[in-house]
Amino acid sequence: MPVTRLAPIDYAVMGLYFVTVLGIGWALKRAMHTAGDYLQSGRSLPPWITGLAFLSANLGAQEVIGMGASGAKYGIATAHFYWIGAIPAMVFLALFMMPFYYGSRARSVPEYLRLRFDEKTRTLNAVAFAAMTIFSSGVSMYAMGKLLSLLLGWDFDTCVLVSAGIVLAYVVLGGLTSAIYNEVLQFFLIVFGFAPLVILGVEAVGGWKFLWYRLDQITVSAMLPRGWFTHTWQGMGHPATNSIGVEWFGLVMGLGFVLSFGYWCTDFLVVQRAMAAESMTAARRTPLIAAVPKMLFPFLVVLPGMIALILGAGDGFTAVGGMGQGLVPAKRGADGLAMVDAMGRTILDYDLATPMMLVNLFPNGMLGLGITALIASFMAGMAGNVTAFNTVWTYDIYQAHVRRSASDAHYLWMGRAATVGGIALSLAAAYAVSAFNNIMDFLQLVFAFVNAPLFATFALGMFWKRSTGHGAFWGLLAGTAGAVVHHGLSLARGSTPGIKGGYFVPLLRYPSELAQTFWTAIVAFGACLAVSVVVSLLTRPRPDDELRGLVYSLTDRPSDGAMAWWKRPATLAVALLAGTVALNIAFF
Amino acid sequence: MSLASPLDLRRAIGGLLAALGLLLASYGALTRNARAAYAMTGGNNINLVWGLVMLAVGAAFLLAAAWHRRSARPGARPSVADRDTGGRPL
Repeated sequence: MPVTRLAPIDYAVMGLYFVTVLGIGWALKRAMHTAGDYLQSGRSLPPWITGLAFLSANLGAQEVIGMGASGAKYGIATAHFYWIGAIPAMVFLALFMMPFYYGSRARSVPEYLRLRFDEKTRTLNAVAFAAMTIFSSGVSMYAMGKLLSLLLGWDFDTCVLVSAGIVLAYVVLGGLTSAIYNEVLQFFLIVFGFAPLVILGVEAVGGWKFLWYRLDQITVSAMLPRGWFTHTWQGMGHPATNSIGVEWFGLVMGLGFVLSFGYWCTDFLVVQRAMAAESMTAARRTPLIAAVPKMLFPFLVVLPGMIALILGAGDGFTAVGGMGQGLVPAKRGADGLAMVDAMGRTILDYDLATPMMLVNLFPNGMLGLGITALIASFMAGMAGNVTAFNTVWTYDIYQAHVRRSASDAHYLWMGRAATVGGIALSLAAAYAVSAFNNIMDFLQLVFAFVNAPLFATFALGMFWKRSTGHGAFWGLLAGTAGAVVHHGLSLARGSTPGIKGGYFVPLLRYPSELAQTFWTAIVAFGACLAVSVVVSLLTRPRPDDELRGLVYSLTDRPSDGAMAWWKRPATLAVALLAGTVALNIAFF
Repeated sequence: MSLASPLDLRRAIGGLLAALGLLLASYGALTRNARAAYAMTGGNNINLVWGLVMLAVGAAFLLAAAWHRRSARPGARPSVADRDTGGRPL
């Protein structure tokens, strides 16, 4: 039985959005003449567009739903994923790494590895990345189909096929530019769809002060340490006194350094947006412009989850499903009964926190806007992955290994074909995930192992000219192996050996799964760094001449001296960091 | 490399936001007496209010697009926006 039903006005809102999305694809079709237009937007977009797309491309299933879920689970500490887990890395990418990505004229992140190191390092990165984009896009589709069928009673197959069809149409027609333009549109839709949810939610709770007061009340009645839901740093001295179960060092090193820099500074999905910018300055401004809304996003996507935890009968709401906490329903097993943990406490279905807020707070009309914003976020995630896939496939796999020197028209055709193929494979992935749910956990784990060491390789490549291709290649493999070994030897409290780790011998015990994840990343990074350095010192370095424009010490610094001081990227970067520090203090 | 993109994104954003705003605000105006529909928002006619907000933001984007188009015409003085994009239409 669906949770709610849409009225004609809701369908009208949704219809308007889809018509616009397809219209953009159609209008851009005329501008797609070369493979460079199609796969790189002809490197011609202004920074406000690439900046908002940079942010939006990352708004897949994990963001809007997942961060609301984390808000309900961890409270305001979820903001660590933004304030320490994103902003510093985005600033670093803008100031120190974009000059190499953009200046080397590489067409993709794997291609930079080819220029800096060698073919095998590029291929390793390209193949792993291509597989990951297909899988992520499939997971986006699957999560959307599942959510809409639960919420609105829509047919899973129809949801998946229609959304795939729309993304296919606008990406095949207008390529990367179309994906980027639509991502900007999705950004505005998400902001306008979720801002009123937060405003109405805070009002329903009784105001901003009451929100924090009532969260503390829940903390007290659940006998949790003080500040569990309402503070970001206060309990970080010990894993037992904060909601995410990590101590500050693991948080800062694992999330704030290894994972965050590994994602924001090396993931082609986001870096591709900055590489499509019209100039070096625009490319460097892209992540900085993205960081401004990113810094404020916790208020948009995390707060709904926290509010869902407290709204209830006393505020005139009847939670659908019942037996949960606030509007967050209990997780139900295959038998339809609410699930309980070993201590007899109800397990909450946190992923439904934000959707339940939409359903409970929005009347018809706004409900259509909210659901459309949700669908937009899933489609942004899908399109982002598909456009990253078609570029890496065409340039780093097909052109590198199948047909080296064909005509540009051939690669343009290949880019379009790869888009169709990528979406077909994503569909297959979506159905594989829905048939065997374990696949999702398993592949997520594999990709986490592959990604963990990446930043070590890029940092060595860009800032140490002595590092070599052999060093990078074996370092990456060693990093992944290190992650596998550490995960196999460790286990989080409450987990059983298997997919959650400890498959060799559970020697190390962590207080939470996040702590285990962060430390796995730290070990992977360390292993990659150590092996890369040792192998590099044992192998022959490339002559300096070949590395100009690719390594920090051999490249002219982009000079911002001619720009007015307030226009310089460094000025914006300092302002961003100051703002982030201020937010951390305000929610300490 | 194709320089001129056939589409000004400001217009697309402005058009969508204004159209959605108009739709929601009209619906809100039509349902202003339907108490039951707005019980969940504490009596706030959120459709009307938020529709007007979106309409205003959409109109601002459309104005920016029109201003940009006018200053991008040949012979016109380049606008600040044009200097930022190297004089290229978006």
